[in-house]
Amino acid sequence: MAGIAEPREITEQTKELRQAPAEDHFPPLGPLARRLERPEVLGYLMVAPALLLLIVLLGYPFIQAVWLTMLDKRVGVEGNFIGLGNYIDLWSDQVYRWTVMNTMIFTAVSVVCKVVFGLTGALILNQAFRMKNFFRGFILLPWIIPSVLSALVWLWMYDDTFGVISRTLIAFGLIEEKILWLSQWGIALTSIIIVNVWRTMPFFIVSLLAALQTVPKDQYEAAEIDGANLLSQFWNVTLPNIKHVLIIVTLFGTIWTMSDFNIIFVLTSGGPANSTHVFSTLAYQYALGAGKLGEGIAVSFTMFPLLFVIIFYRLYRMRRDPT
Amino acid sequence: MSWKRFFTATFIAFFMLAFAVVAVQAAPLRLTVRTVPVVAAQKFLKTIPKKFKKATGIDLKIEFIASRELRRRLITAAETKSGPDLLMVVYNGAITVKESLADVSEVVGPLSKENGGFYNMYKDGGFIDGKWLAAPFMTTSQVMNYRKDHLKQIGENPPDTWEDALRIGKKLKKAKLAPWAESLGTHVIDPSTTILCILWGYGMRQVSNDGKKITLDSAGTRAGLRFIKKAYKEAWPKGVIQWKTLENNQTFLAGKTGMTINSPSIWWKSSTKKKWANLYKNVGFSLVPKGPAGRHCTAIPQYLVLFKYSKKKKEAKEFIKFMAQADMQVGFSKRAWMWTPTQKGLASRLPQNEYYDIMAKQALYAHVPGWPGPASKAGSEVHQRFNLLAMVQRYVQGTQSIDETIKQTVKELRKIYGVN
Repeated sequence: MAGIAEPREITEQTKELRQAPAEDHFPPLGPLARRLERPEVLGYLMVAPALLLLIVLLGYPFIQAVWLTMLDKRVGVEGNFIGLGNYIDLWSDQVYRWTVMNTMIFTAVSVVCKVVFGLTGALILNQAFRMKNFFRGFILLPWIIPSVLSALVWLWMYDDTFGVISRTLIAFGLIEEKILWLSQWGIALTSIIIVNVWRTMPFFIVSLLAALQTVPKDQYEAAEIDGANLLSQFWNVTLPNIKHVLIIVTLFGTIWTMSDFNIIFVLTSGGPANSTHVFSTLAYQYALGAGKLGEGIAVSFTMFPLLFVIIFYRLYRMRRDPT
Repeated sequence: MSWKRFFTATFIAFFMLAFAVVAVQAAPLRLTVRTVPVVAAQKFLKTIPKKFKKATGIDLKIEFIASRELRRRLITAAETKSGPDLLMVVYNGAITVKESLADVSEVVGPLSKENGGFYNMYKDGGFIDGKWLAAPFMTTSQVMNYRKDHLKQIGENPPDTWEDALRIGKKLKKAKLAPWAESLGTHVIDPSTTILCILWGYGMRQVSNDGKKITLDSAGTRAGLRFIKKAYKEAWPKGVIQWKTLENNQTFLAGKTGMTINSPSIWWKSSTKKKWANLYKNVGFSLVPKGPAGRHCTAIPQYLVLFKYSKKKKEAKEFIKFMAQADMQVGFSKRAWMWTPTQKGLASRLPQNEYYDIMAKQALYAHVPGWPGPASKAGSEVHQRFNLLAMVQRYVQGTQSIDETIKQTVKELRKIYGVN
């Protein structure tokens, strides 16, 4: 038949080779090769390049960072080993202790807001309505804009002279005097949280929306037949189906929020009176401002145990979950 | 190894070494400076490599970066031992990386005796451990900018003392004219330096002249703090507590600030657009007011530092000499509006008008943060960590009493300076 190649002629030699045991095709293996070919050895051998890459790219900088936190390292000078001296020094630093509290509040409130608003947004966008595709794309805008730029826009919006928020509120008669959004600890931290939530919520919405679209429709139908109301459907059908995505998204959200830098740096630079620092901005001030690299890295390194506990707990729970 | 292989390997090694030596020698001298917003001045800077090549035969490559990037570049270059040969630094940045810097005393020493010598502030930030580790490059003075028309309306002259400034500020506020406003947010330039001008004027000294004793807890500090709080309550807009370094410029240009300490950038900026023509005619300069302890202020001294890792030290020193020439200093200052030469005697060669006159005079009263202590890492650290600014912010906002805020700051300073 035209277009189909004729099968190649199978020679006698090929037939012999096919019939012969596999060992006869190749020269016999030496003792080292035989050992390397054992599955328990070959397995490790195969993952070795990837492992090596991880050690070089992640392990080395990590260990180097740990080592630096144990030195009184200043810029351009070799540091002396001081053990946990940097951490002890930090703990006696009032600004640092305040920063620990700020980071906890900032991360916890931001992540909770992002989960709540993100899930709400995803549920809304999961409904059928006109221009839903446009809104699904539009919602990504805050996440697309570089964070420094969006922080600068918010800085202008919070400005006491030209800021659009205060002016609008005054125009509507809701307030009489301009609100100084970045002037005191409480309101400044709230303003920072608002920007952070605004900026990273699209990630939550889009990820959860994707998860929502995988929930089988027949489960809702079955629930409806059983008389479940909307809340009950959400609790017993939606939530269990998107649980794993929700956990992963929350995990990433926690990591990103805890290490956020741009928004805080642009809006307050840690002020007023060093009261709105988080780990990243304080680390920047100590390392690049004051030139104390050891202390600066120690500040950012204190994020690690907290993040480790959160990540470990979340992943542990996920792996134990039989569903 | 056979002889043939040995000779081949030796030849290749020798060739590579020779190539590396030639490559290093052929590479131009690398200089990194901040971008200057004034177009004519930026153009002038761009002509420097050609002029320098003509004068010395040395190739020069200039890299322009944003001023806020200078600090990061300084730290990175010192730590990685790579980057430009010469880098611009401001204030006391050189002290932070002093171990990484080459001694440039042999060129800066003689220059410090020419044309009336450098302004004092250059020694505060560049003369470190008995040698010049940073070469003076240019000065940006910070002066009192005011609206001539508004002061005329309230029948006042520019302030000579801080009490004058407060009186004028209160009058401006009462007359609903653009008020007196000083930034009090968190930034290393305007807020940090303005509070130093006031506190120094009232007698605050963070450390003794030899840098061995913290002297912050004093009557001068208390008087200065009380003055700032009074000015905040009675004359300044409440929003200044969140102003960083751009807001006083923006509000002045928008007609919403009538008096503020700033570099002459407001004056220059107002000349760039027709809509500010009236403002441009009405911007006046006066010296930063004096207090009971005299007239003190900060400026933004700019230096060039030469890194020890540089393979072009000789050429770099040639460049330092080249840039210190009167023609270069005056030529740049004339075009740059807000810059003045580093040597006192060159002021007479600047355009003779009220603006350059005030800028040059103001530089005589300028110090760098950390003054009156000798150039030290601790002095720089206090500036970068906003210890003094935070002291003021806490007291002005009422979160701490005057005693509490001074006590906390003294504790912080003792730890940073490592003294009592």
